[in-house]
Amino acid sequence: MTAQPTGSTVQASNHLAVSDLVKQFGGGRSLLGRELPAVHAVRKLAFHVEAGEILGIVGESGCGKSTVARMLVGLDAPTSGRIELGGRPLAESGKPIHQRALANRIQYVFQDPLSSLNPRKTIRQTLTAPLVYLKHMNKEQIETRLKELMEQVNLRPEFLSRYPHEFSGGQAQRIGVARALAAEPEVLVLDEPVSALDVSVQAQVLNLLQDLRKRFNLTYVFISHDLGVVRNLCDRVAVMYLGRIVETAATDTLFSNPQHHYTRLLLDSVPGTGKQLGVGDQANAELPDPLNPPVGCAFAARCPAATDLCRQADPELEGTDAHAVACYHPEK
Amino acid sequence: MTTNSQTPLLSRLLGRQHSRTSPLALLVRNRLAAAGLVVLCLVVIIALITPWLPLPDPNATQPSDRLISPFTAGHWLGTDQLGRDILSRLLWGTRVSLVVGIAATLVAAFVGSTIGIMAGYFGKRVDSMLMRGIDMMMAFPYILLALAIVAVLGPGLLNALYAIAIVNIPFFARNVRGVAVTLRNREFVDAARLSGKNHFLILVTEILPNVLPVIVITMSTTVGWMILETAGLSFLGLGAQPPQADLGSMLGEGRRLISTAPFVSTVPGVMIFILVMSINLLGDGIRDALDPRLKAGALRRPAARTRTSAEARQAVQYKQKGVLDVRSLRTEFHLDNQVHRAVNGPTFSIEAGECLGIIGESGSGKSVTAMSLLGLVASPPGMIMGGQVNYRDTNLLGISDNDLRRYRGGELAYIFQDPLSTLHPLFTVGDQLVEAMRAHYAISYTDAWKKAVALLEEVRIPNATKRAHSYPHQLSGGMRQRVSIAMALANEPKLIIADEPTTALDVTVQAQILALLNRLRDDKGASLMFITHDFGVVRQVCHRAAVMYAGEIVEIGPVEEILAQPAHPYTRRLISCVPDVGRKTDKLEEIPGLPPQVNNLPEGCKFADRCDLVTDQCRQAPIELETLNEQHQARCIFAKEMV
Repeated sequence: MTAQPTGSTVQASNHLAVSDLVKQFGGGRSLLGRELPAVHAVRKLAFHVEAGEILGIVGESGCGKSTVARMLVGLDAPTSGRIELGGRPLAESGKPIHQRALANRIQYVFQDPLSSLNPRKTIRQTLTAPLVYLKHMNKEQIETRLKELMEQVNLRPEFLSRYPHEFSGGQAQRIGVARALAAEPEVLVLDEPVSALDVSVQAQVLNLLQDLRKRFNLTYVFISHDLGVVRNLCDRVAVMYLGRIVETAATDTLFSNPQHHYTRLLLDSVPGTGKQLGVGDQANAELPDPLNPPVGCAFAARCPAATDLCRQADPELEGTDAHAVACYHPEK
Repeated sequence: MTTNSQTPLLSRLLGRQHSRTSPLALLVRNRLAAAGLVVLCLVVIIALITPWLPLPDPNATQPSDRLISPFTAGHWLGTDQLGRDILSRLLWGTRVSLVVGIAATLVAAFVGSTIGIMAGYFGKRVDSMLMRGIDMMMAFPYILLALAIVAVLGPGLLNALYAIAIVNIPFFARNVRGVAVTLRNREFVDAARLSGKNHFLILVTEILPNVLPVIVITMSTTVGWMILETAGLSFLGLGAQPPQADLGSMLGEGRRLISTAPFVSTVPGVMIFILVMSINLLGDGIRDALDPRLKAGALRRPAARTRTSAEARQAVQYKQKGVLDVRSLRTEFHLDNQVHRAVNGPTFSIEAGECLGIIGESGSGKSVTAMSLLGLVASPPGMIMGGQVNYRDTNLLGISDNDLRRYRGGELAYIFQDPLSTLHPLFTVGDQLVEAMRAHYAISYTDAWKKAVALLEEVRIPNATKRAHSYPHQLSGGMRQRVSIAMALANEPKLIIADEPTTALDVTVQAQILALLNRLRDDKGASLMFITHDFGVVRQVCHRAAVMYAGEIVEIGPVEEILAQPAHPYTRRLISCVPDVGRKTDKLEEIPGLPPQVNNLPEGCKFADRCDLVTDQCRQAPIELETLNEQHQARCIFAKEMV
């Protein structure tokens, strides 16, 4: 994976590549021609994921990480920008999304396992849908594949005839993973897949995800706010703040040598590491308003190293493939 | 991470229970609805077999036999002004009224639900266009619209049916749209899109099964009304045309003879009453059985205080330890003849100025323990069965309601997980702080307001003077939680019970709140009982910790000692489950299996089924707490070997 500056060309190899991705909610004009408020959920995002790699996207609520995930799988259309998989465009601004073609190659695992299952359908009905509509299988093939899927996520095949409310959170999330795997995609986008689960169950699901990746050579985009989980699962990490990537690096590099002050703050905020919490955070500073983002660096108001330059211009993501940071005064 | 507070817990318990009881069983259990069902079935059966009954032709006139009184041989309900048999006309008329009413309901349900589902699912322009059309229909007075439609189409039974179906479409459209809008945003609809389903398939196979209960409820509550309307139109001569019998037209014809032969109009009137009454009773029953809100017990108002057994109300017999001394607390939920033992005898005490952490996974009973202390567990179904909660040498479980109210939010204050649901949305945060103070002390509004602003400054809210005038929704999650903390501090508490206060917050905001709680505890000398699922948070703020599993404390001791040398296998394995932010491991430790169900707890060690050290001895009898040192205890027979 390379962290490319925005607007560069995309290499044609088998990986997921995002360039200049923008998503704006609202906006436009009212009937009387008045401009309506717009939220820039994602602002000029660019990243690559190599085949077989796990890219972690970290950020706090409202930073746009879930919006990125939904655009990757086609649930939301980008306002502008490109998403490519293996050199072929998946989504381009202005063109309609081919949901079925997309769903065959890139799938999604939801945060809340229970609400992503229809309460009035058995697990068999839920898992059969992608096999029928995406894989066009006949009855026999479906039966074989259903058993195979249940085995892959370590669930007993009798569970197929049960309804979602009969499952615990961990079991339901495994069904969510099975549903995503059913279409045999190349890429899984996982949006906080373990944040609704208890710690002991969370470990079960994370280990399952690791095993599945090795077994099927899957590529993951793993979205999370839990730095411990990201550290243990991901190969590379991108840190998002207010719709932009502010730093990206290999996991170990990022955790041992964070260069953006926001990354540093995130790491220092993890409780129980023996350090005093949140040192250097201007805790009283107001968080930036996404309806009216600041001109300069969005983090400037909370940043201990902010200068006038930071408040006037927004730094671009710059650096090497191994480590890129969007900051005028990075930590050394 | 884990979301866990009392209401979801309760609805989880209730939801599981009731999902096993079929709607039909619920319906039959409701006596009025069952009576309605029986009466309606009788009427329908009689109407169905009417053509085979030995009855005279309903339309055959016999001028010589006009207006014969009821209970005459051959004419059990008498004859009308044209000498037609009223019994025969009544049964044939009921048939017509039923068919027209039900047909109109089906038409209205089909068209209205289609409009509602489409509007709700597609939203935006489709929604605006369809629903504005519906609004226009609703702008006309209901019966006038029906009359106008019949006036245009011409009188006749079929036209009356159309008119009634059309005027009822808005009810279905609006009800169904409301449900469809919430369903559209549910994740399983997104999941269906990702499974390759198109809009039509999603509407029919995902949305429709979930709105069906609403359609059935609306049908069952409107069908009686539609039968009445059909009768109304026929009464006015716009529905059934002579000589056809229909309950409304019979009533209309009998109206002129009301003084000379009242039975001619009374008989169809009674039938309309029986029919509509039975349908309405049944409809209410169906609604109660299918409405999910009623299942979750939302309409049951819990008592102001948890019911407490006589045993738990006994006075303190000994000198209590620390600020708060809890002994063998037992709280149960009694649901559908099943007993859910949520809290099974935890014993702990909190010293002045100390922070005790209660750690556990969802369902471990940590929140119910905290709620039980001041009787906040919803009752029914909650019940405190035993134990003592001692504060100032009094058992809080035994004091009067008035005394308890004085402690709540006074010397003993709570902070909950989700400040948005604990703060009132319609009052400013300043007003709510003032109310919290004035509920406990006689203090003027202006003085209280000044103190409220000072409190907001104390919890480091910028621009406190201005922010006191804000409503909760205008504040960020972190700011709202600061307001909750300010409210807990308002009456100088001796003990603050914080139930996952930072779980819903971002990690940087959590860090700020934890630092704030630490500082306040130091400054004020208040004790803190901190409920969480996160070992990192416990290490950051707590002196001692108690680990809960299946309603029991399995280990209690100083935080550093528990983290460094856990004595219970559950504690040890739970700690190693947590992914460490400081280093990378190849494979995370996991605990296989699930915690036991609280309505079916094992006799011996509750962790036995998931433990790698389990022996036969573990399962035989309840395990007692082993004392490792003065402060550290663990509920495991191997505790001493583990350390």
